[in-house]
Amino acid sequence: MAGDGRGPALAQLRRGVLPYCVLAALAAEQRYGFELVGVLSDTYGLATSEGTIYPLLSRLRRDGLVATTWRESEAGPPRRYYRLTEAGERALAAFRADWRAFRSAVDDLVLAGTREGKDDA
Amino acid sequence: MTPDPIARFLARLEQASAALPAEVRADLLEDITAHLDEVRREARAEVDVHAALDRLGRPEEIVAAAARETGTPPPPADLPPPATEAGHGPSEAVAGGVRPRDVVAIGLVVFGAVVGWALLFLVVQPLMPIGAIGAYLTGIVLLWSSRAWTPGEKLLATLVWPGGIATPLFLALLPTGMCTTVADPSGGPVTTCTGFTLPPLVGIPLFVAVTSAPVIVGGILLMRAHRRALATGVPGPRSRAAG
Repeated sequence: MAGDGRGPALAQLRRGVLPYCVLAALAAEQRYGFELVGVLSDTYGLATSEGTIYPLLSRLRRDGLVATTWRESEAGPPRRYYRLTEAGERALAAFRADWRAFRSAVDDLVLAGTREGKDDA
Repeated sequence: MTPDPIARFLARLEQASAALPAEVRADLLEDITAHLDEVRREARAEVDVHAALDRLGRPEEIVAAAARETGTPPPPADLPPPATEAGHGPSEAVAGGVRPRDVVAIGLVVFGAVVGWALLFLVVQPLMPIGAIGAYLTGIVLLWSSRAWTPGEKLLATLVWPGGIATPLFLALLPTGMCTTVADPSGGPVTTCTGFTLPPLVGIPLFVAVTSAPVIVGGILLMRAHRRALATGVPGPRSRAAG
């Protein structure tokens, strides 16, 4: 919600990569919705309105990239757990390759001439 | 007793999501309800609940995201419209889809042509015809530089001279219809007319016809531009579609 013009660009970037961040967050372990939202939001600051992750999860499920199972919880009702499907793993692997190329291209351009650009490339 | 903020949030979400496909809506309500159950379980105080609701986002925002993910058009919420990346600038279109500059072009040509018969008063009162000619010429320039019409239509509008066909017609006829009144030696005045004059029964309708010609031509051109604008998808309200 930055009012300096950076807001919309960052929001679009975030929206573009969020599906793959969701896949990546599920790559190592299954998570239930509330937990997954917490990881993306608290740990990585990737969700501006957390509620919008649920429609994204539904879409990933419809596209066959994640699958869900119900599991009992020690307190309260059963929870819906999300895990990667094989198609989801392939999509994530493909994105990793794309992302490396994309990231280094943007780094070269945007960070050119800065200390960061010289040192961290 | 204060109303439960979580219940209020869910009620708003149910209302905002009414237009979503039933399956999508059921999923969304179930997911958000489960999320808020967790919030309720973890919350130590009411501030925690409010913070969690703030982070969740407005119900309308969440519904808009769901609509985006399912490819259904977003509900008419108070959200800003999504930025268009390319295409027609909506500012160019007015009611009916005809661009303002084309309306101005036709307006000037018609105005200039209709009052153009004032050319006849060029000697007596020069300002009026000069204004009409100026308007007419400006309109013609705008007309020919527009892409709204075919060359044939532009030619038609151009041939509607100031005063329509009336101007050359009247200029041709008037000098020949001269009447002179002389005093007859035997008494009363005698009027003798030389040359050709149109009888009023023919002349008046003809005058009306030739001066209304520019108005009719202008109307036809505007209608055609309007239809083409609709056909090519330039934004404009359809309620006023001609025909």
